[in-house]
Amino acid sequence: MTVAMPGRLPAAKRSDGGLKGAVASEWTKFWSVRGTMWTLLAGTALLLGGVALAAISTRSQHEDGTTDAFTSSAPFVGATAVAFLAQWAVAVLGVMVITSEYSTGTIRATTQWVPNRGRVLLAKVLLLVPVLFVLGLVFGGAALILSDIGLGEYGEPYTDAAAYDTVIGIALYMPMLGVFALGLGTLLRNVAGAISVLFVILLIVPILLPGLNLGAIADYLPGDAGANLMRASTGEPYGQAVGGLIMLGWTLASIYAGYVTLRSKDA
Amino acid sequence: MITLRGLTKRYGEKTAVDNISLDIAPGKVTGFLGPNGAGKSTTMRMILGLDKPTSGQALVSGKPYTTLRHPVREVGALLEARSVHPGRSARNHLLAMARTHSISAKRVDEVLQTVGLSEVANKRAGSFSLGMGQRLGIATALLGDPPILILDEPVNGLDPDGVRWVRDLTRRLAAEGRTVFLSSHLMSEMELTADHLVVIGKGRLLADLPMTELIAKSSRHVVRLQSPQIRGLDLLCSRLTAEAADVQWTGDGEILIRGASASRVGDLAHEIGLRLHELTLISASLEEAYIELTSGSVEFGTSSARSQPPGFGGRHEKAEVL
Repeated sequence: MTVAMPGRLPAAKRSDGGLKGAVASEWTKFWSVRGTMWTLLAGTALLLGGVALAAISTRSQHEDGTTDAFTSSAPFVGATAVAFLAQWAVAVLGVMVITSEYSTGTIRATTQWVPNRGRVLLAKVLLLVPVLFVLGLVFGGAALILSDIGLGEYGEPYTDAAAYDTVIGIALYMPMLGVFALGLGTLLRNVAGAISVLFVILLIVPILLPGLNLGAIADYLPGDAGANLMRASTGEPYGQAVGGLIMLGWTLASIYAGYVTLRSKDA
Repeated sequence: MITLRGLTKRYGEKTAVDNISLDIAPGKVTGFLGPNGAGKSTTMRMILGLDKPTSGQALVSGKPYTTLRHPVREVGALLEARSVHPGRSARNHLLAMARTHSISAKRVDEVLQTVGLSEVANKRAGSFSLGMGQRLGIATALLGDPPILILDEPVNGLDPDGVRWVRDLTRRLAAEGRTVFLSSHLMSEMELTADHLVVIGKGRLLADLPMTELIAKSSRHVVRLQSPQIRGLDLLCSRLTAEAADVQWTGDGEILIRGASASRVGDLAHEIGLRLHELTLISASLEEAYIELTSGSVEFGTSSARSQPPGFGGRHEKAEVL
């Protein structure tokens, strides 16, 4: 028999692999599919489009001399563009990190490599949080600068503190939203299902509830909590910090539900 | 060593794997046979910790797979079902695997070389042919240099050269003292590759024995004997029947004997002083032995596709094999 064989592998060190290895593997998987870059580009395009739309609309109203013309500050316009548009790219990323593994069968490979289900999910969280925090900073900064340029002289003045709060709010909301979406994706194991549920929770329900005199409930859903965290709202009935805590609660609940599902069901 | 202890998996009412206990020993190739739906893949998935057993245990090197600190270094697996993202390159798939165990990128390139995928390592796995996909699967099984290999239908989609390569590779891995557990529907290939066989049907263990013994148990495993001494032949027949062998006269001075070894028939002939003109062992093929063994446990099949096992009076007790 002359079949070529790979050489022997040096013995493992105790420190090999573990959570560190699982995160490194998730990092490799995340950046080695085209979908990641496309989604990030789509998010950027949505952000640009949102800001441009708001700026053009504000400008034209003012230039037409409309008396009750919409006025707003650059941080508010930027945060709104993120809340209405760019956040969907982040939600898709969070969902895809797990659901693409189910749709392609990669989950079978992943669970063979890392049999501890909790570690698999934690590694995905530890991948998403820093990546989306940095993305949030970039989105926040870009949204602010672009809004400033777009609104020009028609933008309401704002303080440095307000600009800072918005950028930090966006940078904190993005990882929480991503992990919230990851939890839903783990629970539902299906891209379309998880995105639909996200759409309903973040957008549809908050629109419907006030009509049923249940607006107070909508205030505490992830969408409104996130808007308050990013200061893309009037700050009612709670401020930025409370918005962050409510969003954190949703995130933890979602990822825990995902964990319980992952642990109990067969891969 | 793979150890199954009362391994059982139920999906609702249906029992996919039913109380299987056996040891799969190192140093040889153990073939895993059974009709579609017999529970082969489910058994393999339970060994790999992908499915939880309803009861019983599947252990690798004495431990449940999910408790292994470095599972990829303990067990290498190729599963039949697709488990590679079609948009990811072969190299990146292996790199993602290697990183879970802090295995070097150099090792990744080495196994790609071994399976002959170096030139397409950076191509999307989705563009691979079935055979290339199988080679990538074998690369993942080899990456961690594991003492145990589980290969589900490894030759599926391979060309004749590839089939031969897998045969040589698995023989070599077993010769190195590794445990090789391999399923295949290609009986002729299995006959060339495996030393030992585990056969299941409808989730139950039908056989766990060396290849030679399994084939010898087949009713198609026949001793043909010719003698000019018809009276002596008669005597031999009654002696053989007394030893529970089946005897059939096929012509003038020729009998076929089932259920007795050639050496036993020869000894008996010598005892009664029978002059022989021919004593031939007509060995059954693995395929014949297998079809006979599993004829009662085909989950999805046509009745015509599976002929009745040959023999005298069509009487064949599956239990005899165990």
